[in-house]
Amino acid sequence: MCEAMSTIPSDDKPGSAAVDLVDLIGESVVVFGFDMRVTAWNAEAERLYGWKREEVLGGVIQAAVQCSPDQPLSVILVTVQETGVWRGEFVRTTKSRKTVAVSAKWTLRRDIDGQPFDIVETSRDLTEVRRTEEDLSRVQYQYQNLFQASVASFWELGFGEVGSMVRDLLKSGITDLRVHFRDNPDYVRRMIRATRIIDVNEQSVQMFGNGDREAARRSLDPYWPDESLPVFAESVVAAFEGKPHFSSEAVFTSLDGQRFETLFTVSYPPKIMQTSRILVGIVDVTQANKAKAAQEASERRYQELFRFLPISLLQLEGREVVEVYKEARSRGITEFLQHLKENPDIVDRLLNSLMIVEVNQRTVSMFRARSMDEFTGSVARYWTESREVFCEAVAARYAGKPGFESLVRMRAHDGTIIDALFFAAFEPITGKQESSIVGLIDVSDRVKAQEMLAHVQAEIAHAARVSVLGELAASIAHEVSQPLTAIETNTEASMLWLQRSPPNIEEVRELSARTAVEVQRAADIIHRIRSMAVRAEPEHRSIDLNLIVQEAMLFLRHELQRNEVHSSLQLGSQLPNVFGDRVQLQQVIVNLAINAIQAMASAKSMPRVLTVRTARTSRRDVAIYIEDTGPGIADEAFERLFESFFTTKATGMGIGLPICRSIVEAHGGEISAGNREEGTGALFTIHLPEVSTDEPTS
Amino acid sequence: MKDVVISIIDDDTAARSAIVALMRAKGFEARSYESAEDFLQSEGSALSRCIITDIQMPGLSGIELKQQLDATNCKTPVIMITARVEPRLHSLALASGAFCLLRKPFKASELIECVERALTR
Repeated sequence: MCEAMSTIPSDDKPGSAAVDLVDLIGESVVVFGFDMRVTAWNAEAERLYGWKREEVLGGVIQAAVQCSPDQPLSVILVTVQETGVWRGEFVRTTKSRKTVAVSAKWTLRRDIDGQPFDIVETSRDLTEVRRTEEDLSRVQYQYQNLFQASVASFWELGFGEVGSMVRDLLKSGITDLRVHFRDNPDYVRRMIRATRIIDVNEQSVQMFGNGDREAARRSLDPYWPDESLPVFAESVVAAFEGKPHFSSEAVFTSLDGQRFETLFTVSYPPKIMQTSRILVGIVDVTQANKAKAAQEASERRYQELFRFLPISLLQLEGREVVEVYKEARSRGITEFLQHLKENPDIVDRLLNSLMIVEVNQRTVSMFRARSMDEFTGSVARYWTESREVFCEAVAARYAGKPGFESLVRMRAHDGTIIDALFFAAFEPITGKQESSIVGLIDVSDRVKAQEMLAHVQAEIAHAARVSVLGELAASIAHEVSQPLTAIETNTEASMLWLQRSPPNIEEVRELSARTAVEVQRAADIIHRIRSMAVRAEPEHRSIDLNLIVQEAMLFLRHELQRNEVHSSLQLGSQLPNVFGDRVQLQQVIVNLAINAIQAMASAKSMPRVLTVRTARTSRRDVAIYIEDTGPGIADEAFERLFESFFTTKATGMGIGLPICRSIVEAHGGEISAGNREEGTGALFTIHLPEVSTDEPTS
Repeated sequence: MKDVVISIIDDDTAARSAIVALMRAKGFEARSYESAEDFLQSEGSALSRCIITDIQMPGLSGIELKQQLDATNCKTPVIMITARVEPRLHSLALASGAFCLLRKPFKASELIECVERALTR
């Protein structure tokens, strides 16, 4: 505002740009000298007074708008010159002879030497202000309604006389009001009598005045028993100390002698000394008791929910948990789970101190118990199977999480292991920090279904392996026939050496030793085939992928030879182990390799090279690449490659690649198909997560 | 009998040395080769009264060996052995003029019988 003013030129011809700026202001801005001649007149002044700028500039302001200030003009001018500013109201006449009331502010401007040279008047149409006041009174009316409708007793009290009494006291030299009131209860009683009741709400009429409004408003005195005098005294002191409100428990009596225990609240408006009105609220504690009853009903509903929900619920209490948290926090521990791992004794302490307070019916049936009485003591007995989940739950609460859920295995009372979804709500419903509600949903059926699915998948994988063995039958026959030939021939040679006279024992010994080696060779082949052919549950252990690849290649040696395919193994050094099932992973490699061999053979590709590479990748996993020099994968086959029963082979079943994929995915890995970038041929890539180094290898 | 040289060609070491042992037990002088190429480069081809060869080998196959011997007008009887089962391979072997064709695993007595027949031819 001031900055905008300073741009107004002080000469008789105001620059239009500067005036335009002032025109944007929603207040009337007029500038005049001490001779009252107008030098600036903005757009709002034009609107308010009806005079155009050019009609008033250079003229005396009173000529345009006859001022009737409530103070003489000379007094106003002196005030402005002395203090630099004056505020007040004018009643002015507009060009159309209408009367307007304005609220004005005169500000003195000085030149560079500090000499006053003109006055800037900003003014606002009071009729606008009045409208705002009307709005305010409407709000007050609404407040009045609220005042009446409230369940609390409200009193509007006139405090003016009490104020005078206290001021008199202070004048007479009393410094400590509190002590004076304590020693002079009669004086307090007099203050009560001096308090005027301005208004009371309907609730107050009912509560104190037996329904008689006039009787209720007569005097505060009958309501205020002697035992509550200190409360009144204290509320007066609070008012004089400038506190915004005062609150205390107090006893009141109604006109018919009924006694109330109440919560008494006074709020002091900021200008209490001028208005002398205060608002007092009295809440009957008997009403609070009703609220308490409602809360009890809500708790009863909660109890009913707790008991009869078809979910196992347990209410637990553990002061020790709160203690353990406190200890950990005071030691600055942030990784609570790690803290528990390092201190198993703390886990035991928590398990043994977390007590079951209550369980519901579903818990009884789920845990195969006979009655709720069996659930006493700590939760320790249930957490034998999923101790780590317990630790996670406790850590989640430590981390300030509102809840926790996880799959768990819990031991039922008859020893059965139950699979369940465990969840805990840490926001204590009961309002006590040490208590918590945990729930369990039996998912044994779902787990059984998943186990069944895994079983079926293993069956299919097995069927696929057997089918692979079928494809390899010729190679297997070839392979096993070699040691058998050697065994038969060695045995016959031994017989011949024995038939000689004298028998050549040395030759026989040599042949027997060689025969034993060939028997072992045949046994190894059979063992290898059997591991592929036998239906076994997948085992998951840490394994060396290079070893898997080498074993898989043993299956393929004759198949490669038969199809005139050269193989190239490029095994990465210092490969981390992967976690998985040896047979299934071999199956994947054999399957992909057979596909590659068959593709190259049937396309009569030349040369035929099968390359199997292993490497640790930048993704920190282990990859196997199986590539060939065949015709590659046709574009239209890509999308359906891993679909069941999709095959481009005349005798294929179309289960090889889907099985490969489900095996790899069950190992947490992924498989992808593509074509080689250089030359023709397909490239299959398998990624398997590596075993972190701290896990034991086998 | 010690003068009778029999050559054995098989890339499978175990099968090869077993046949060598059998021939030695029968009183023959047995010479062994890992491949048909090795055999052709040795003096064995000239000395041998009978050749026992595997069909499927890296490099020259048993059938190709027989063809090369025919080309040099070598009449030494060739006994072929194989672990393969394809009927087509068998007809190819017989068509090439193999004296005997034995499928692994064969009975040792069958091989001895074949060798004896070849030597008395």
